[in-house]
Amino acid sequence: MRESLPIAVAQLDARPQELDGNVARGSAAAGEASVPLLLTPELSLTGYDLRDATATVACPLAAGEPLPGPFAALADISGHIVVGLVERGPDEVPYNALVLAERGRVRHVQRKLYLPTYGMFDEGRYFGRGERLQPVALPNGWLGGFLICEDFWHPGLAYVLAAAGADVICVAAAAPGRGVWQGGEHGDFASAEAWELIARTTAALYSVYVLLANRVGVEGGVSFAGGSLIVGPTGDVVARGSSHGPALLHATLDPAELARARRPAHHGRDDRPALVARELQRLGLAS
Amino acid sequence: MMNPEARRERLGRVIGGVTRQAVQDSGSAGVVLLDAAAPESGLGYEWCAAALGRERVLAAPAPGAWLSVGTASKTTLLLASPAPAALFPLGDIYGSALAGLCPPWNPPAPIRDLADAAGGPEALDAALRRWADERRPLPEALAILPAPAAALVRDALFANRFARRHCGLVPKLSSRTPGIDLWE
Repeated sequence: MRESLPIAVAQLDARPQELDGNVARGSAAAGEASVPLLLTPELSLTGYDLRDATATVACPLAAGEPLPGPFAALADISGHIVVGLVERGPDEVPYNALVLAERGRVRHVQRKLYLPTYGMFDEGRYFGRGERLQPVALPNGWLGGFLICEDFWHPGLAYVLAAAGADVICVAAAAPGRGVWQGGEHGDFASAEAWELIARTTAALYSVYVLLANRVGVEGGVSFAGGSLIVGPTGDVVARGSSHGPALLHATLDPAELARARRPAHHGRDDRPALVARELQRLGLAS
Repeated sequence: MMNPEARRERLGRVIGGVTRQAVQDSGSAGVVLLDAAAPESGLGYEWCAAALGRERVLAAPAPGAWLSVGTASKTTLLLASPAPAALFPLGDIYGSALAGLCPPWNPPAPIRDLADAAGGPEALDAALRRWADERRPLPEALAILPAPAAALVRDALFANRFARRHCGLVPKLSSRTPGIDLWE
């Protein structure tokens, strides 16, 4: 049985390899938010542009075990926090990972499934690809799913989470800003509008909450675009971060609002995952 | 969204953020503007000073660790080899657009010659934009120029490949930025 769930989205800066400072930023945001669930951006504890340092900052993660090394300081946080860091897998491969932690202990690890390796992105050179998508129980009876940045641009993944019953899709991103000359409707970057379009469409199609935590700050010549979002299950924007500077967005996930959104929209009720799976198989796309 | 003042503020905010971080990451005392007499330098000074404070922006070299700042536009970085600098804050803004922000238009001689052949700075930048930002094949991108101008621009792009790849830090503003994700 779902109950109301106060949540927050922390739009944070992070410095590459400055683990203690990044942990301090995450802890400070959690203290200020003081909610049962806080979402932070992709690689929020390690910084994004790690390159050869990727292996250096990677750490082993196991469900039920304490977060290792400098990340252990997150044990002081009273609620659940979702943080981005580099997992060192049992195969010694580094994975871009999102971790749900409760009082400093790992509850769930989601590896990034799609590693952008084009244009300015080079993730396939440094990270291994995740292979599984698993919804996870969140506080107060909610079921969540985690996606990392590029994963959100592959709508089949949000579909899988929604079909598995997720009520809230949490997206952690480190999306760079582009289109400064044109500007965006709500900030400095025109590129933020595509993110908002995807977030609102996903929320409306599947009648789910979408939480998007995007980075701010600068690494090299790249400015991260901020524009974090909390989108309600009808596709309405509940809260939006600016395009520059850290921010803390608040909302309360409301079971009644979820029910209201799902009552007139029968897409979820009528959806047929078995049909999709069967057709993917028949077309030779799922083997 | 198209308000010129808002655009200027937006560009200054993003470029200033990159400049501030570059100074911090390099451990520099501030920046020193090369080409201090150029019109674009005024804009560079304005944005750097807003990000760092006026005392950390110099118009002439001084003792100590100062980050060198060039005023080359995207047009110049694509087609010519500007004097080396650690940072090109205006390097993702086309020359004709820059002229709208800080007139008059003041390109290096080779760029002026190419613009004259192309039918003006806007025509030259329109062709470059089709290639660099819209990712059209080069012949298609340059097809909007007179044939002799297209040949000159093609030759200049070819000759400048090395300098374009190894230019200094350029704040990313557009879909493809020299030194970040424009490798042709």
